[in-house]
Amino acid sequence: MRAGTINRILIVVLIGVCVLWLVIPFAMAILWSIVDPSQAWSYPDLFPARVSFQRWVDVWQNTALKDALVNSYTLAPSVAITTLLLATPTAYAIGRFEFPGKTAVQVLSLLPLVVPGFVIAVFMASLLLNLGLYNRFASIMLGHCVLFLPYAIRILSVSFGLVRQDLIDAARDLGASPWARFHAVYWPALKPGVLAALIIVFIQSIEEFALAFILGSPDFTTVPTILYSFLGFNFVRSNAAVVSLILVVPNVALMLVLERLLKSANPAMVSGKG
Amino acid sequence: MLRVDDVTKTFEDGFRALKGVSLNAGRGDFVTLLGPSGCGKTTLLKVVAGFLTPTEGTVSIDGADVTREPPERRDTAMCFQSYALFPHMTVAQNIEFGPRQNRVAKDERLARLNALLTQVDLEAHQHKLPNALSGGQQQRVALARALAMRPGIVLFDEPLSNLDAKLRDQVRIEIRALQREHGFTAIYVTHDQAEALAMSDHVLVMREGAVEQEGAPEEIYTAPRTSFVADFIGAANLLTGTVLGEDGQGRWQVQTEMGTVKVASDEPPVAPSVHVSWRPEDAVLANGSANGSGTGENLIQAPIVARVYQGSFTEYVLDAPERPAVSLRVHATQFGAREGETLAFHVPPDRLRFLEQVAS
Repeated sequence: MRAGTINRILIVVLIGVCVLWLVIPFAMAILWSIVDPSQAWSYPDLFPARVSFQRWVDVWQNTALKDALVNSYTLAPSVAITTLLLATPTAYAIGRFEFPGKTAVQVLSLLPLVVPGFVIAVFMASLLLNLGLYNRFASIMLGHCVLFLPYAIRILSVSFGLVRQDLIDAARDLGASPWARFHAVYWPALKPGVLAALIIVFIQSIEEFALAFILGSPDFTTVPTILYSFLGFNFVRSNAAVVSLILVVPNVALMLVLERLLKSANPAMVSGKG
Repeated sequence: MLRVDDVTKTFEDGFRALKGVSLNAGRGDFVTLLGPSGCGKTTLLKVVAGFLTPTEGTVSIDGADVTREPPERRDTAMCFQSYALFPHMTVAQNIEFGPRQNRVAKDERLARLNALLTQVDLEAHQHKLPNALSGGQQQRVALARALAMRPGIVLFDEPLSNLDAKLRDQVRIEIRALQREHGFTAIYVTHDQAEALAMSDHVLVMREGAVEQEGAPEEIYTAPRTSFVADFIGAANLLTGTVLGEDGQGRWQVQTEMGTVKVASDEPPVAPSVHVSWRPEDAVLANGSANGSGTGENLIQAPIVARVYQGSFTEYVLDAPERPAVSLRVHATQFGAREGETLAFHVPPDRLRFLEQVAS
């Protein structure tokens, strides 16, 4: 009874927070993106006086958005897969073994999280120039891998820790080859983590601005660099709204997929304890 | 069949888990490794399974040296304490896992599966996932999965420790029945002496990485050689004795905490100062025992400190007559005596046993 009341209050508060932080900004973005250029949306109108998709057409036709979308959506999967491959050995070591200095390694592997993206970007740029790497796609990919490796390592090392030693032993005892052991024991425990790491790194890479801007300028654009171009000196709120919707909607869809994946990672299925 | 020769295992941190252990098991034998936690019994099982390589010594199966063979290439199958069932596979898939890995033909595989499902009474559950089953059922799946390999040797790592007492008795009987039917050699690890006595053909009592005593369960129980074994297997009254002399017919006069007693023993005591034990149920109450007297050999009269009614018997805790600090335990089927009274009983001389020398 008491707990029920508390739960109800909490749900109301949560809904309030969601509306304030998510629904209102999202609705505003949609509204701003359909403001017709011929008539400005200004106080005291609650809604735009005239709506059209003129802004969308405009942004699509007159900016480098098409290139930016192609760039972003080739960059992000490449970054996600490369980061996953790079993170796996470290995550395996952290998740499966005890070794001296393990805590230090764990902290060290999270370090890129605390350094601001711009700082990494500026020094990465000069480093890559010194190394003679001028390919912008490769530079940004490398930079994103460094930036997002901590997420992948963290998620995967937890997943590797969930792999049960007794199941590995049982599989060996029953004559399983290394591949069969991976398939029967490792993969079921790793799958949700691998997918979660891929999606999180993918989303991070799509949304990242600082590195893509510094390493990619002037000619290599991604969706966030286009977005920022509408925010700086030539501030166009409607166009920015269009681009941010293009940026955000696929990410929200991916987040929903991620949520489902994490939910399907039923701990009882992994650990065998109900 | 299985031969373990003088195996030593030293871990990387320097801990010596096994100190020269040997073990022989013939085809169809049920051998139990019994001991408290940390005695090395599970380490020995892992050495036999191939999960650990011994530092010294050899393991051979059917005459072939397998000391360095990995578990996947040994004719052993293990029943894990945690069952270690694959959680995302159904009961049937779990049981079929071994035969699949070993590329057993489909007909044969299904035949084994169906036979085993019948034997462990799980046909109705074959399409369920392990976490939908009770502990006892999971235990039976683990057993069926091991047996599907048709192994010569099945290794049990405390398989009943996660089950409640009633179920434990039932699964115990099932394991023994399956063992007789399939004729495999069983190496069974447990810390439960009742389990060891009930199931085994041969028991190895282990302590601190070495075999303390081995033999048939009856032998281990009735003729323990050390106080550790006497105390670990069942209940025992442990005394320290000074040997006073022998009467020439294998009867020794021994001075103990409960007085001077006669000990009938085929073997002489190992030292003049020696541990002596007897089982609480070997005491024979003297006539009119409460406050009573009596005649006969090894008559002891001791004050009752506590009386614990156990249903089929009553346990009396007594102060030893010569040294009240030492408690004696007597199991009797007569319940009359109360705390504060004196209990008179005999311990037949052939029920007293000489153990190891008293450490000075």
